[in-house]
Parts: sequence; C-alpha cells; structure tokens
Amino acid sequence: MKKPGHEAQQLERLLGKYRFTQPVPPEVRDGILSSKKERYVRVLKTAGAFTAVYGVVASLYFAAKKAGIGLTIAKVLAAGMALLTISIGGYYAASAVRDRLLPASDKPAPGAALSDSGWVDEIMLFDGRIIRGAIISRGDPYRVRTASGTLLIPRKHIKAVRPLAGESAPAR
Amino acid sequence: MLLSKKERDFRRSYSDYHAMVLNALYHRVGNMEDAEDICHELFVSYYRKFDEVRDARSWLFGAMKFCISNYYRKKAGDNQATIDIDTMEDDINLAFENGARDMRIVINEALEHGDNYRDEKDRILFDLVAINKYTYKEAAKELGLTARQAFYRYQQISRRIVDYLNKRGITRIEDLL
Repeated sequence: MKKPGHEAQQLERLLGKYRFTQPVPPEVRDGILSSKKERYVRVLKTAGAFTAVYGVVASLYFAAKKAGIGLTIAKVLAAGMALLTISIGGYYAASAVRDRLLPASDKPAPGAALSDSGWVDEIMLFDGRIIRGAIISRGDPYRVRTASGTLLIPRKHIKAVRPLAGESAPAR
Repeated sequence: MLLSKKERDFRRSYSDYHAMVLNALYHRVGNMEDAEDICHELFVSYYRKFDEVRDARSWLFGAMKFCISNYYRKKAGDNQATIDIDTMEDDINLAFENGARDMRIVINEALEHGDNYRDEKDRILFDLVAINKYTYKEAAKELGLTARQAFYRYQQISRRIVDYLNKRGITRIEDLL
C-alpha cells in the first residue's frame, strides 16, 4: 500500500525531471510574503485609487490572511452577529442567576439607586408632605438625595423618618 | 460598504496571484529588483483593466510577457531590438529530445487540466508548493489557510493529477524517473 504523500513526492520528482519547477530561494520567498501589503498599497497609489480607508482595510485583510483567517464580509457579519447574540444571552443569563441567588430582602427597592449604600428613607414633614430619598447628612438642614436632585430640609420641618430599604435600619 | 466591489475583488485577486506572479517573474528575470518593478507595472495595468478581465490567471500570465519585454526595452533604450519572451521559453522546451518533449506536453496538459483543481486556490497552492518549492506553511500563509489544510489539499491535487496521467497511459511514474 502506498504511504500518504507518495504520489505527491513522485509527481514532484517528475516535475523536477521535466523542468517544470521554478524554485524560489527561501530569502526571496520571505521577502515576497512579508511585503505583500506594502506592494499592494504602492500599486493602488500608482493607479490613483488609494485612500486612507483602503489602507486600513488592506492592513486588516492582510493581517488576517497572515494569521490564516479568511476575512470576507459574510464572515465579519457572522462574527458580529455571533458576538451580539452571545453578549445579549450572557446579559440575560447573568440577570437570571442574580435574581435566583439574591434573597428577596437584598433586592434593591425602587429608587434605591438614589443611594450608594442601598438605603432609601421616607421623610414625613409636619405639613403632610412625604419625601423619598437617601439621607446624605443629618445635620441642620438634612441633606436628602432624591430622584429630582438634592434637597435641604430644615430639621424642624421633619416629623418622622422611616427607612424603606434594609431590615436592620433603626427606627427613627 | 466601505469599499466598492471592484476594490474588494481586486484586493482578493491581488492577494491570490501576487506571490505566483512575482515567483514567475523572478524566475524569468533572475533578480528581485527587476521582478518587483515589472510586477508593480503588471498589477497597475491589471487594476486599470480589471473590469474587462474575465480570466485573471490567463490575463496576468499573458500580460507578463509584454511587461517583461517592455521593461527591458525601456531599460535598454528604444533602439534595442524587442526581446521575444516566447522564444526564450521555447528554448527550454527545445532542449529536450523528441520523446521527452512529448512527455512534457502530456505533463503540461495534466497541470493545466481544470478538473484537477477544485478551485483557483487549489491551483495556486499547487504552483507555490510543487513549482516554486514553497513550504506548506508558507503557501498556507499566502492563501489564508492553515498548514494542515494546505497539506491535505495538496495531497488531493497530486492524486488527481497522477490519476489524470494514468488515464493518459502513464501508469507508472517510476518508469519516467
């Protein structure tokens, strides 16, 4: 039985004998392979067709080809779609895992984004208004970060403060 | 899209044929500087005529002869007689005895027979490895393949060419070596 490559070897010898071969020295081959992009750009420049975009595309194309990646528009689009699909899928998977692992009490309450610490307070004023937000400082006045901005509330106007998020929050 | 179809097709075509053309030129003119200059001239003409070209390989190799001839005429001055490249190439064939020349014709037919190659990439790969003695790795790099793919494809092409020769009555290549 013939071993793999036997036919190729014989054919090469045949081509050599009948002078079909045109061997190129290794250093010349290296030169040909390494400066392909530069020569391509020179051709386009001489032909008057070179633009910066062509230069960038040529760099990407020849770099990909050198790396053994055939870069076609279809492949670029397919890779883009795959990346997008994986990103979206990953986001939803991570969200689902987080919802499953976090206990309900740890889930942030609506408006919790107002506070860095996750606390949201409900501030009841003597005039009946209720303000929801994160208390930044408890001096006089109180500084409260709300969805509409930071409010300064004089201490004398505050009737009660009730935490909305966090079970261990002390009653105030 | 960023590039027109012509630019994309030309870039692909350039990428495929560049090494093969430059190898052939180097082999004919014997030095890299002249080969590069002629190659440059050839591809500039190719770009300008790109829309009219139907068979890139035939066009490039046909135009190569004119480019070599023109290049040397320019280099030597207009008074110099035209160099006939066909005659130069025929001299190689004439160096063979009659029987060997017939064999050379049969082998040439086998190499040119389109069915022996799945696509143009196959043909270029065969030229690079069998004719110009590129390694699989170098040829693969040139064609955007892996070395393993290049090796596998090359073996397939060789098998088809040997089969073709068998059909033409050359059943034992060993006898010709």
